[in-house]
Amino acid sequence: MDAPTAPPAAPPGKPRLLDCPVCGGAITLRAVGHSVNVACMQCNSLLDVALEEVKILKKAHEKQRDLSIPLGARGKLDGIEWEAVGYQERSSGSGSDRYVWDETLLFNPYHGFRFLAQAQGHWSLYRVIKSGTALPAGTRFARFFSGQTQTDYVLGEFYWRARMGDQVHVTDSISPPYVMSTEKNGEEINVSLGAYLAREEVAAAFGLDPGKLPRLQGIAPNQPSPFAARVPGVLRASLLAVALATGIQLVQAYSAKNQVVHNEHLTVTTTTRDEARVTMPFELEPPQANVCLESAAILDNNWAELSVTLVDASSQERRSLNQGMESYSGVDSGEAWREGDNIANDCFPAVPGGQYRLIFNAEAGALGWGADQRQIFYIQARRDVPIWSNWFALLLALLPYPFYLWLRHHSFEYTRWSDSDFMPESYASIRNSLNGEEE
Amino acid sequence: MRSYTCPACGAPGTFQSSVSVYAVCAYCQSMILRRNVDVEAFGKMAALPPDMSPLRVGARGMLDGVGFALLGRVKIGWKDGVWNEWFMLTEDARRGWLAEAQGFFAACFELPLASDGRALINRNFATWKPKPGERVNIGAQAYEVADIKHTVCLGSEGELPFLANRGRKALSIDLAGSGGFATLEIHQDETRLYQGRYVGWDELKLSDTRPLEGW
Repeated sequence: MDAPTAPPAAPPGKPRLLDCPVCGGAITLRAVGHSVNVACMQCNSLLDVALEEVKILKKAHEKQRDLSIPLGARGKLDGIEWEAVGYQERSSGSGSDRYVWDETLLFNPYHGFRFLAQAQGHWSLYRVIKSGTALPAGTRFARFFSGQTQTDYVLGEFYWRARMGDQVHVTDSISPPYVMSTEKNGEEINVSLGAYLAREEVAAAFGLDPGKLPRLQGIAPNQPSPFAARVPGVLRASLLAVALATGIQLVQAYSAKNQVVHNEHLTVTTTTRDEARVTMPFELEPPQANVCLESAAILDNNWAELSVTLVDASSQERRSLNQGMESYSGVDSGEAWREGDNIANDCFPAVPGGQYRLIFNAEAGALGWGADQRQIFYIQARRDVPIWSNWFALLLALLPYPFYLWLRHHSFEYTRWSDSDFMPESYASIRNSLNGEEE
Repeated sequence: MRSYTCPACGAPGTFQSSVSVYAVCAYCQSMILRRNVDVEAFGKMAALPPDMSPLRVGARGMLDGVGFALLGRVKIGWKDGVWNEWFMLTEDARRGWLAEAQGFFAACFELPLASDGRALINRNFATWKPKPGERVNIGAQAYEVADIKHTVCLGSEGELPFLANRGRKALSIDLAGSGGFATLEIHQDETRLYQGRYVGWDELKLSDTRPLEGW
């Protein structure tokens, strides 16, 4: 017996070529062995190609159509090369509620099928998921749509009995950028998971001009909020800045001496109102630090003003500030009211160590009332007082941007959910109040 | 492994699995039945319908860290499509099936229908009329009838644990559970139970695959 030769190798897999039995046009079957229905690219007749014998399911004599992604085109998405093999148009609702979308069936002999769905210029890539498939981490799906859909047009090949007029009940739940679609057709239930794709990615994947793709309109159900993506980073940066500033502030506040360097009890009368009061010199210890004056005026429905000058006893260098105080109260239509503040707080920043005096000039409303009037002030000067105003200013400066992003994000989400019958309660109450105002 | 000579054309062949009882000669497509001591040829298998499957008899892969080889294939048809069932032998001598349908791969292994003398599925298969959604227990695990298909064998190749001639009819019942899926195959008075899970192409790490034009 002859030496055994290797058995003949299995022939390579290749597309199946056939002629349309209706129009005679050439049909290339790409997902051979999977495809069961094919709608002829030339005449749109529907053929049964599950077995070798081709059967006509429905004759048609339509004109050829141009598709955004032509059948046979190849593109790389999710790191896998896909070939467009089928195309269908579907819709839900009617009248002004009518929503239309299309789906391009993608095939790769190793990785199976994907659906590239397009609606209002927005694209999503879907894959069928079987029960037990792990969902992407961190997703929380909320119901967005539930209703009957129908197939309005089919072209190319399909691994199921796709045909015009197919009715399927669809439930969509979203967790942007993901959407989970549950399609129920008779006894068959199919679940697929879609992820939002920027139209530029679709154009780049298939080498298309993005300008030739359908125009972008509105917000897609699973379109990620551009603000949601920025919120965590901005929040993190803001919180970090606040934490840092607070840390620095606390260290400074804790280490500040906050020492009383002078107390003054000042009484100004009608006769002494024009005289300046000069204190005894007092010592300010180096290093340089602020000097703050807390001044209180005894006021009854009146105002007072202090002009304060801090003088360096050796160089005669002068620093000045003004402190206004006022206090008014009364009863209006049975309601007591009070306004103004009879205490003023002001600081001389960065005062070097040395001998200093304070000079006070006072003016007060009470002094103008008559000959025997007086105005009393209690003044306390402190050295190295912790200052919180810069810290507050920083907080005020940091808050608006995260708040702006938060507003924009919720405005985006509100618009998204406006197209849904399942708007979350929080947005629905806003919509109700807006509608209420319009009426 | 057992070697044989094709009774029809004299080409050499082997049964790699001890449970294989049937093979298709790779040279002359004769169908060969394994007897106790010899083999018998009985007619020829027609060429299988064309497909774009990247698998072929002889391909090797990995499943849960254990290598396997594909020994044979059954091409199965039903009213709305066609799929492949690849018979595989693992390096630890388990026999299973790699199903290839609608772009999904699923690996499954046969379970005995009874353990400790108790039936795993409490159904009389001769009279059972399964309905979609019906609850079925396999041992303690709950499943639901997901799909019922009347199938017909469209052809076979390689070596197989049963006679997979063209026209062999069966009832295929898919069961879905939280732990995976199971399939019951009822052929005449013979019922087999398979349990398995879906596997991705990359996970299978296949080699010696079939060349595909343009891919």
